[in-house]
Amino acid sequence: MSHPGDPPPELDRREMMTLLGAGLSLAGLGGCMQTPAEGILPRTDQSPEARPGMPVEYATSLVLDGFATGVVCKALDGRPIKIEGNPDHPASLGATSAWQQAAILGLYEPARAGRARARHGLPSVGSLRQILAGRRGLARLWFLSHPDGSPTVARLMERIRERHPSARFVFESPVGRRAVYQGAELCTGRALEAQHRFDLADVWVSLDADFAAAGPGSVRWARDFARRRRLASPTGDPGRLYVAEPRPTATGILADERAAMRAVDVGPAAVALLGAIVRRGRRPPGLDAALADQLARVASPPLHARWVEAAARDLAARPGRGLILAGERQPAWVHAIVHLIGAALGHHGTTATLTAPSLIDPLGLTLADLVTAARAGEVRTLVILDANPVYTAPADLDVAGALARVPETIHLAELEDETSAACGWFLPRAHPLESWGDARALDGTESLIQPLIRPLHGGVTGPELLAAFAGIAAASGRELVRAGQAGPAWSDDLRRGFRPGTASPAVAAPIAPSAALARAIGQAVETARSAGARATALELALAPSEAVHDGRLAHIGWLQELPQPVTKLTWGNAALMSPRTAARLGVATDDLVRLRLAGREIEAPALVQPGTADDSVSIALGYGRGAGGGVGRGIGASGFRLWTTRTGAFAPGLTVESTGEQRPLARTQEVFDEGGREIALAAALARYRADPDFTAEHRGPLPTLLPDLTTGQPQWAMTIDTMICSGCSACVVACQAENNIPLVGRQGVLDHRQMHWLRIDTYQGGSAAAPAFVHQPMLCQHCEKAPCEYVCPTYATSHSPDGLNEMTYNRCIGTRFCSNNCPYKVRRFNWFDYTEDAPALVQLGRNPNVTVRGRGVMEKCTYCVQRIRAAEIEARMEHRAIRPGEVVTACQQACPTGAIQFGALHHEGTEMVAWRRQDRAYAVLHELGTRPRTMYLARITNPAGEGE
Amino acid sequence: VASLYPSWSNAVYRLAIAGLALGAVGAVVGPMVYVRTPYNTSQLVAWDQPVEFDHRHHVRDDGIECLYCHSSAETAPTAGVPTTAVCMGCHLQVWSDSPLLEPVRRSYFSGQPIRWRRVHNLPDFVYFHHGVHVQRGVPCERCHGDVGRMARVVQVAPLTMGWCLDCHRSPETRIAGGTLPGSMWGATVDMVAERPEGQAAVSSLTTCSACHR
Repeated sequence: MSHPGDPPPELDRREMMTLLGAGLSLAGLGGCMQTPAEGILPRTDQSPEARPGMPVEYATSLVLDGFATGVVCKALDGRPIKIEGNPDHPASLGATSAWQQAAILGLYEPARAGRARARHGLPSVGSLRQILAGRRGLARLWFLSHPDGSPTVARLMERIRERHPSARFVFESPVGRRAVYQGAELCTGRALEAQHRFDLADVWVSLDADFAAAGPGSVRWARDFARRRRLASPTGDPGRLYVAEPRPTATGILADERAAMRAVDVGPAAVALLGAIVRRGRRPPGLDAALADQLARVASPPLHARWVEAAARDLAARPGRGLILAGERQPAWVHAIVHLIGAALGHHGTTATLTAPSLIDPLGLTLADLVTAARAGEVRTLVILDANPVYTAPADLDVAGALARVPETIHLAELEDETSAACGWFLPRAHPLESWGDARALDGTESLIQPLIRPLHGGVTGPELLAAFAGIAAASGRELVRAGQAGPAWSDDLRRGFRPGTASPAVAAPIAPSAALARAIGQAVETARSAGARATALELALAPSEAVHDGRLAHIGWLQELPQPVTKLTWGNAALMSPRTAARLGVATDDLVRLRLAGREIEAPALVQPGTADDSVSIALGYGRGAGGGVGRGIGASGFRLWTTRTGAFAPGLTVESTGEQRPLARTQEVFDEGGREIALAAALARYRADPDFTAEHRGPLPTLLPDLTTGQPQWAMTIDTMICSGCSACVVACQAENNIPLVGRQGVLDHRQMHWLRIDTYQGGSAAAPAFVHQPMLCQHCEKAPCEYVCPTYATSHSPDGLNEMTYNRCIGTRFCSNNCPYKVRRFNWFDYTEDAPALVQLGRNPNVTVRGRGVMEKCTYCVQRIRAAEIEARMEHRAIRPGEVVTACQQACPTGAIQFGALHHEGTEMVAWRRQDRAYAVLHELGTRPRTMYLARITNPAGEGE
Repeated sequence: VASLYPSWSNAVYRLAIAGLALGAVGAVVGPMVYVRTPYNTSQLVAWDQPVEFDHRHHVRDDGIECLYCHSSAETAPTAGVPTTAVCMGCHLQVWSDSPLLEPVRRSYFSGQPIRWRRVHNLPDFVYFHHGVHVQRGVPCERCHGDVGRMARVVQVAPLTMGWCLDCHRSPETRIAGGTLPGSMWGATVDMVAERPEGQAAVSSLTTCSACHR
């Protein structure tokens, strides 16, 4: 297939001139044709909601690994085009993550399966229903699904168990929260979820938990954290964030005290932390004295002693005002230690309220149980709902082999993937935006899922398939969810998107001494003691990708091209290692290396990333997809091939060798230092307090010869606080969805032709061993004296009286002078027609209020001018002035931390205005006199002082 | 030389040079004139529509106001062709068996939309909002002409950017009340000029991004 960016086929000079001449004269003729009449197809019925060209919004939920986030989806003329957070939903508070933004593209995925397929028999849910009708007591019936908390699914499970008493249900996800619940079970005897309140803490400790960008509550967590964290003045207290992790993540970059630590060392550090806290006289209540003494004697690991001691000191100094959490991939005993620390310091009930988990059967059967049963011939019928175990299961389980032993296998999935190929039946699943359903948020709130469009390719939902087994004849998804509810409560809940007051109640769960807990602490102490001996073993650490999760989002091009927060890597994954480790192994970035662990191997390009722990190699999961990967098929290497039941998500004993080959990585940023200039300002809190005006020379008026082009009100502007920006990149995808930004593919990124209007620049300061990063979201700065404007020969870029730097595409002739004259490098050029050949289905998802650009045209951030003008029109029609907060840009709306604020300069009292008057405000490249309308706030860190 | 070039050859060359000069000017001016011709702007083209709908009868005989059928013109970006249900609201009662209304009935009972032909067609890179113009007192006739006298609707205005800007640069003189025959809106200069404090003047909407986004 030819691709934009390929060199043209061979042409000789004469042929070329002939074609040029012919093209020119034909192009001239084109102007003489009268445009043929378009059709107008009005609706036939009169619906009060449907007005042509007016958006309609519905509250629904998106679910990942069983946890719902409330969203509001906007549909225009019947087509869903944009997803925003649901401000009332406790897991969203109005913000979204990158993958939620990308769900729109998933809906219009051309590779989505259209047809049911069966090895034998009739392929449809209807025929399945007929087969199952009247049958009871099916033996050896198993179901496999992602973790789920849906009340509807729970009800259907009951019905299925009544009808088929031997039915078994397995809920499994590659990196699920099983270890979290097991940890709580060790301490209290029952599975518990800690509901974290980041806004109520002064000290946060993250042990390998990327809470700001990953995990089931990250959107809410990030917002709570940022609200507590943001500094309004030098006298404020930003709290202190401690992070221990093997590779820099969004959370690690926010940290004040970051320890680059191998994943295997995180557990020993947790034990040492608990030991240091016990030594400070704070013992977990209910824990017997002998165990506490055993813990108190654990010394801090020498490499991270300062970090552990500082964290213990801060936590112990603020009982009830601390918060600690461990990553999902850490083993149960680490979570038990975290639970004990929380108990010792009075976190439970304040910053970590304990509730029952919102998932069904959180510590139930595992995939390994299913595989064992299948091997033993104890599974006759297996129904797989939306999971892809052939790709995601540990390599030593051989799920494909086990599936071959099962006589009847039914797979329900959006795309026909690796698992479908191993199953007898395949049924297309409806996309969440086409489905009725429900789910529970992390805090237990029952959230409703309602469709915005009829299934584009047919397809059924998980509950509809389960209903066939439950013997519920021809039930629609809506009836299953409604379950007899009617009247105003149901319609109110539906309008709201969730059922208020359904959050899980807090439970009192004192520590219950048990043999298992004693054993776990013994094991923990032993691991901590022997940690020194294994200090130099090279480890492999696997984690879901920040972009494509565990591979189930690999078909979404926006996420493949999303620069990963720190590495800026697109279209693939890499073996991340620290500079020192890379030097020891003799490899450099782009070298293809062979990774071997426990007799299994994969090949992946190396990426030398400062901030990675020495002797740790990180690989993002979710790449190297086979069938069902869509555009992500065959891209990158699959980390699951190194994951075994014994080694888990991380394990020492990795060997790395160079293959001698090179595989260039497509990164959107390759230089991370500021080249001696001050671009992204940062300071420690002490320096900021001593010199609050340290950004003074980066703001204020500068003389100019250029005329003032702006008049009247409103004057639009933006302020971005880099202190709370985690780099999670939700804004980047939101911008792409709102503004019809095309994809350029891996080769396009390698040629530096990416089209993102909003990028997140990351600058690295500090030392190579302990780098400090600053994220700086960079978009058109809407300079008052814009250098791009006065070099445009066609007046295609101009200044509006309300302070916008406008881009008029149909005037642009593509000289690219503007881009060359832009000091911020925010203008993007359409080198090819990236949009013309897009499948018709993908075109349905475009925002009709933004022009789709063709080849040879420059484009850039417009401050979401379509939203500004829509709000202005609304105000004009109501004969009033525009109100504060009425215009929200796509990036601002998506941002989980609220780091981006937009508004009009005359609206005093808005955060946007208040922030830019703060002393740490600055303009990027202020000395050039461009007077950017976008201002930034310098990043302030609060490192622990010695002996503070 | 005289035998090679007879005396009239001078005239031929002068004419040729003048022709070239004129041609060069014409190559530039010609297309500029052409794009402004009614032929290019599709003005005054009376398309055959799937239903023989006559505005003269509905507007003049029955006295139905524009907004009765084109109701979204008041609030939405597009004026909208009325839904089949609006047609049938009356025509279930009157002329309910007229053969002229067969396509309307077919659409109403089958749920399949009627495929009308678009008369006023703006390029896709222009974002025009009907609602704001109607709300600010621009009479329908100012742009659409006297539709009540049209058998088949034709586009009266050129709908070029220059034509838009003519109004936006001096709305006071262009949209004065009573300048158009039979204006059912009676729009006045005051209605257009009236605006709350702090809101930009109408003329500020000559900025590019007002229409191009």
